[in-house]
Amino acid sequence: MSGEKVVVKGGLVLKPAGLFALDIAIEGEVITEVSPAIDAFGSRVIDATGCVVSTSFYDTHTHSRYPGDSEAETIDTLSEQGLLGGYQYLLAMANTEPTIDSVSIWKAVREELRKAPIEVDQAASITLGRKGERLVDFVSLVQAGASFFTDDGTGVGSTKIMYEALKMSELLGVTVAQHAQDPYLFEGASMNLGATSVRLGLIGEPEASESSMVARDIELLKATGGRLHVLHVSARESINLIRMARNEGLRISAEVTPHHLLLDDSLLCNFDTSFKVNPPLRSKSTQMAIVASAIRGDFDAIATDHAPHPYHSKQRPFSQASFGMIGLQSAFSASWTAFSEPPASPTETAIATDHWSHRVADRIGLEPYELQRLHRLLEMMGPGAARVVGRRIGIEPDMQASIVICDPTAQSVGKIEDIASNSTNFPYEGRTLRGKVVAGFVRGKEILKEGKLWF
Amino acid sequence: MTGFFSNPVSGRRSLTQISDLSDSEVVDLLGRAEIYRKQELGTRRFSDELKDFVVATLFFEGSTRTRLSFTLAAERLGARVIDLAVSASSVSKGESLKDTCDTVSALGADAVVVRHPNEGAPLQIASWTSLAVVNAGDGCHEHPTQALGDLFSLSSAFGGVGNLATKKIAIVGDILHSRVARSLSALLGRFGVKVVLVGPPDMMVDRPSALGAEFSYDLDEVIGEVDVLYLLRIQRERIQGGYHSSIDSYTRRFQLDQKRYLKMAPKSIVMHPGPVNRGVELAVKLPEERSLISEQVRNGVLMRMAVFSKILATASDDGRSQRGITGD
Ligand SMILES: [Zn+2]
Repeated sequence: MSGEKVVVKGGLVLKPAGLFALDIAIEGEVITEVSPAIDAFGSRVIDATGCVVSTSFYDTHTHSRYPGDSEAETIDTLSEQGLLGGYQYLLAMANTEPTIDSVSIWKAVREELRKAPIEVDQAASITLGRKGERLVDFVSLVQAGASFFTDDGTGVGSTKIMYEALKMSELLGVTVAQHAQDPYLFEGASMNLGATSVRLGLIGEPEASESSMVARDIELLKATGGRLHVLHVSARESINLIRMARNEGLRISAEVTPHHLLLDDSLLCNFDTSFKVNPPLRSKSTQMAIVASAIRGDFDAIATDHAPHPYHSKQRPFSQASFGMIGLQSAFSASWTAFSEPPASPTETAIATDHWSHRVADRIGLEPYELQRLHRLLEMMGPGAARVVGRRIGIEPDMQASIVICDPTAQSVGKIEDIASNSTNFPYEGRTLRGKVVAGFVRGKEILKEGKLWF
Repeated sequence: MTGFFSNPVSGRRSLTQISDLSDSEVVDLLGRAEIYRKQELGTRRFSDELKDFVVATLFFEGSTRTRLSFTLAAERLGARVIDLAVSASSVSKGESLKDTCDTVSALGADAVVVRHPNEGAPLQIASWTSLAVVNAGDGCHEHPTQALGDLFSLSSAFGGVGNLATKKIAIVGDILHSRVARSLSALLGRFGVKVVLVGPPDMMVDRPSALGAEFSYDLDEVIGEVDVLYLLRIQRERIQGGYHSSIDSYTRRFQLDQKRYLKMAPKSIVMHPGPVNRGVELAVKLPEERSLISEQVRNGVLMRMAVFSKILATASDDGRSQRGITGD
């Protein structure tokens, strides 16, 4: 379809400074123009009225289950969910079977992932077999092309190993990402420590299990240089520590998951294993604090921690069931629902009182403060997440035409039948979610139309 | 959903935790137990109330006493009881809990009594299958029929549940791992009983207030002011398995011995879920009027009869006819 010009008209477009009423012209694989009123004569028009137009999303935290567990997910089902969720890029974690801990495995897996209709990048582990004992061959892996290292699934318990990994990060210019969790405080735990765990008689993990490791890692980062990414932040104190470290100029980034934004540990009261996840869902007050700080801008990215599991590994007694939830396809809706819950803070209402923001917000049926939140959310799902993996994306002329169109006021009820996964560990079953991904282009190709895939 | 946890598909009702019951349902259970007590005193020890019902016992963890109590309760109501010999090894081998329960279902059982080492297993079975499930103790979570039987004993001892509102009970032992303490706190709190959890710090839950209870690390501080002293069974294995308190230091501080017994309020009573570890939690011969321990065993059977009757017999009136109606 070369030569065809497409104009996306009438939407509010994601720009670094806010959401603006702009049209977007696409020719071939690139954006050719972004301006208030583009002459669409002779072009195909995509009507984005009532919607926001964002860069396609980046996920910095996907468990692809390749290789090792096609019963939970295949590259096809993963891609489908990603594209339906508005994603163009996924970063696959290294806790597969076998672990991605050598150049040969990394290369072979990456070759296979290249065939996917969605871009999947592969992380390598920090230590051999993710045992936390010996570093992988960083130098060779970086030479082969790896740029993101993580033992995700478990934290790097040894201070010495983490120190050495961050030194490698400094030396080679790559990112080390930590699943911050103290192995001793986590031992035996299957949920958050709090009123619910006490009532259920289950062993709970305190938030300090995470924040104490974040504190340690920040000290190591000061000593070594390097670049640290904190995965799935779930503790209140971690947020404060990361904010301080960032203010000191350390190279640190942090992500938060949709489920830690939306859900809390009271949902476990009936031992429903769909809500068993690691790090665990925290108390209602922590969950509310996480949403507030996400709205304030304390996180770089929203990351799914999409973790499919075959049904039988969830259909077990709670303490023996697998940790993890699927969440790729529902990430935007779940996060936007979470962002919609807190009432406007005085700062939020103060900023957006001018006539202009009211008019823009009115266009899509939102309050001005909601528009600011939506801007923040899309920044974290797209450009912010891309920066974590060292990419620059945006809706600007000459940039790749990978965009996603979302309706922020459409509602839907979460249903596992609508999710393209092989697995069923879906935490939003029956829950009303706000916001829908309706259309999307990847490199100029319209792959998503009316919420369905076309390719 | 109020009242017994009810399966939306089968309409069957289950008792998996104290919160499954409304206050009026608890009162109703006490009333039924009282009727069975009167029948027992008369000539009708057995009835055919549950004549066409099959009750299965599924104990993934050994407990002869509890299983016998349930078995006797079901048989006295005329139900058939089948025992599925499952062992802890089938759990560790990873045999699917659901598969086992599907078998129970296929055998035609109406209700299944489940004892399981893992918290929540009975509740999960109730939601995965169409069986009526009675929790006979799940890990450190709950043991609701024990607590209900104990409430029945307390109510009888103090002349009705209405009189419990001014009473204070100390539950003493390994609170952290006690399903009895959890069920009792949840249940007694509803009737206005003040609950104090007592034990060494390493056997205390992180947030006693989550159980609606106060707590103390010092038995001597509270022993004089309680109406009921509820001693939990101390698992020697647990203490020897790396707990901070040794048996010696535990007994020194928490054993009911002669000296402590004399400090108790004049009409206060002692309870224990059994079997008692003589010389550990209890080292004094209690006069009959000060101990509810054998009464608890007797009342346990009567209360379990009440639970079966409420779950199965009433289900056949309204529950069964409701089957097929979706929603709640
Ligand atoms: Zn993780």
